[in-house]
Amino acid sequence: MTDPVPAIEMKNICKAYGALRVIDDVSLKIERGVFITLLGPSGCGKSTLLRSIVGLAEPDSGEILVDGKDITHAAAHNRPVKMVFQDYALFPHMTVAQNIGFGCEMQGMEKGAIARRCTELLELIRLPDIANRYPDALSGGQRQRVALARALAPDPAALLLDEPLGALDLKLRQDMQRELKAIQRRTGKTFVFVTHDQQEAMSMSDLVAVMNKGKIEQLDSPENIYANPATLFIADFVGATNIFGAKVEAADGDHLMLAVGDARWRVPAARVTSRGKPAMGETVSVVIRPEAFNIGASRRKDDIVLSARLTDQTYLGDRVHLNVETVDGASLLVDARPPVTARQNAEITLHCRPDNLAIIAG
Amino acid sequence: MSMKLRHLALPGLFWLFVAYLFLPLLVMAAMGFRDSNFVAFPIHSWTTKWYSEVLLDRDVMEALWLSARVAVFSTLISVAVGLPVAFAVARTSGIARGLLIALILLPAFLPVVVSAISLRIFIGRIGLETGTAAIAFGHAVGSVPFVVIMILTRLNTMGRNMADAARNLGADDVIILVRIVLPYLSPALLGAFMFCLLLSFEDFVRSFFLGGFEQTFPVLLFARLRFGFDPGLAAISTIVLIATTGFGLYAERFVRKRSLRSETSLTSGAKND
Repeated sequence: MTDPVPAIEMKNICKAYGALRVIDDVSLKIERGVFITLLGPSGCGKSTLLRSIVGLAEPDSGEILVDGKDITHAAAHNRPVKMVFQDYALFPHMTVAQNIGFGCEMQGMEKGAIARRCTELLELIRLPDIANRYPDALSGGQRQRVALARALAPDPAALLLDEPLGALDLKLRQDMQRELKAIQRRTGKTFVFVTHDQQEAMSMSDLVAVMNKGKIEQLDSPENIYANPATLFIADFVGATNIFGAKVEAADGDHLMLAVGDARWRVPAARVTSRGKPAMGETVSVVIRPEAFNIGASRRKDDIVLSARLTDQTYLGDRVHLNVETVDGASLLVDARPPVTARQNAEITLHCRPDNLAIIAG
Repeated sequence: MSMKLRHLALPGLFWLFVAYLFLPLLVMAAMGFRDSNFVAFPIHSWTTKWYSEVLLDRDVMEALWLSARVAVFSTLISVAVGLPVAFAVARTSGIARGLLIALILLPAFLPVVVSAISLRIFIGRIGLETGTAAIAFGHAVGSVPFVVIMILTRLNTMGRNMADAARNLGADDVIILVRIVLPYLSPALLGAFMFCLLLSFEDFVRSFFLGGFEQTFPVLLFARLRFGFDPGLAAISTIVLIATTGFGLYAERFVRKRSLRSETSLTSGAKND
C-alpha cells in the first residue's frame, strides 16, 4: 500500500526567465519509495524543476510540499531533500568521511553518531576502505558513489539526482544504473532522477515523467511510455520510431479506418494513445516501432501490409537493423531477428499487427 | 662539426644567462668576507667580521624590524581589501567584468614613481603623516591587484555546484564561506600572503616617498650606499638575499602542495574505475 501523504508534491509550478517559460504549470505527486525519472531534452525544464525542490531555484508561483509540509519558501539549507550533482561537487579539501559526514554535522549530530553513519554508508556503497582518502584519489565511479552516500547520510525525505551518470563512460554507466537501482531498493528512499538519456530512464525507473517545453507530457510506467506514447514528441524522443501521417476516414464501433497514402488501414480505436480522440476527417500520426514489423507475407487478414525496398542493413548478432524505403518514398527502420536473407535493393514485404501501433491525434 | 655547434649553442646560451644572473650575487656574497674597508678584487685576506657586525648593527636591525612590520601590516590590508573585491568581481560577467578587472589592475601597471608621488600628495591632503602607516597603505595599493587576480583565478576553478551542495546539506552563507570557500581558496590566499610580504619588503620607491624618520631596510641600504660601498653592505645584502630566497622557495612549494590536492579532483572528473 502506498502512503497517502506523497513524499513530494508540486502544485502548479511556474518559472520563467524573461519571456521563456522554463516550467509551465507543472503539478506532480511523487509517492514514497518510488524511483521516478524526469526525462526530457536539455532545456525542457527538468533540472530547474529539480533545483526548485531543493531551493536552489525559486519558482515564480506554485507550491512545493515535502511529506505534506509546505516548503515553497523555506531556505535552501533547511530543506529535508538532498541532491546529487552532475559534477558530484565533492569538497576537495575534505576526506571522504568528512564529505559524507558534512550533512549530519550540519544537523548537529554528535561525532560518534556521524562516524557510525559514515561507516554504514560506506558499506552501502561497497567502498568500506576509503574513509580517509581525498576525492582526488578516487576514480569517477567511486566519486559518484561517495556523492550518493553524502546525500543519503542525513536521511533525506527524498533524494534528487541531476544527471549524475553523465560524466561516466558507457560500461561504468550501466554498472552504476544497476547499483543505483539496488541502493534505492535497499534504502527504500524516494529517488527523483533527472536525465536526457531515455535508455537510462527506462532501465531504472518505476515511473517516468517525460518533459517537453516546461510541461510534463506523460507520467507513466516505462512500458506504457514506450508502447502508448501520449504525444508525438514522446513517440519520437523515446526509442526509435516510424511515424506515418494518416487521415481518419471512417469509424465503425471500435475500429478506425485510416488512409495512409493510397493504403487503407483498419486499426482498433483503443490504440489511440493520445489524450484527445481524433474526429472524422482529422489527420493523425501512426507510430510503429521498428520491432513491430515482421518480414514476409502476412498470414492474417487484418494485418497491415507494406511493400518496401531494402536500402541498407546492419548486422548486430542477435538482431539486424534494416533501412527500407516504401513505395511512397518514406524511409523506415525495421528491427528484425536474423537471419535476413534479402539482399540490398531487394523488394520485401513487411507486416504489422494492428495492435502493435499507436495512434496520436493532433 | 657545425651540427655539433648548433646542438651546443642553445644550452651554451642558457648557461651564459645563468652565469649573468648569479655571478654578481656570488661576487657580492664573497665581498662580504673581504678583510678590507673597500669593495675590490682580488680578495687577499678573508674575515667574517662584516657578517657578525651586521647582526650587531642596531640601525640595520631596526630597519629590518620596521620592514617586517610594514610588510605584515600592508599584507593584511591587501588581503582584507582584495578578498571581498575578488568575490564581487566573480559575480559579474561580460564587459562589466572586463572593465572592473582593468580598473583593479591599473595600480600594478602605473609607474611606481608616479604612484608614489601621487600617494605622497594624497596622504598630505587627508592629513595622514608620513611614516609606518603611510608606507603600509602605500604598499597595499601596489599589492591589491595581485591579491585580487590570484584569488579570482582560484575562484574560477571552483565548481559552481560546490557551494550549492554545501547549502543543500544544511550550510548557511557563513558556514559555506568558512568551511567551503575559504579552505578552497587557501592555496591562493597563502600565495597572495607570501607574495605581498615579499613585494612590500623589497619596495624602495614607495617607502622612500612615504617614509618618515624611520627607514625601511631598502631605504637604509640606499642611504648607506651614499657613504660608499663597504663590504658590510655586501654582507647585509647577502643575508637578506638568502633569507628571502629561502622564504620564497618554501612558500612556492607549500602553496603548490596545497593547491595540487584541490585541483586534481576537479580536472580529472571523468577518470574511471
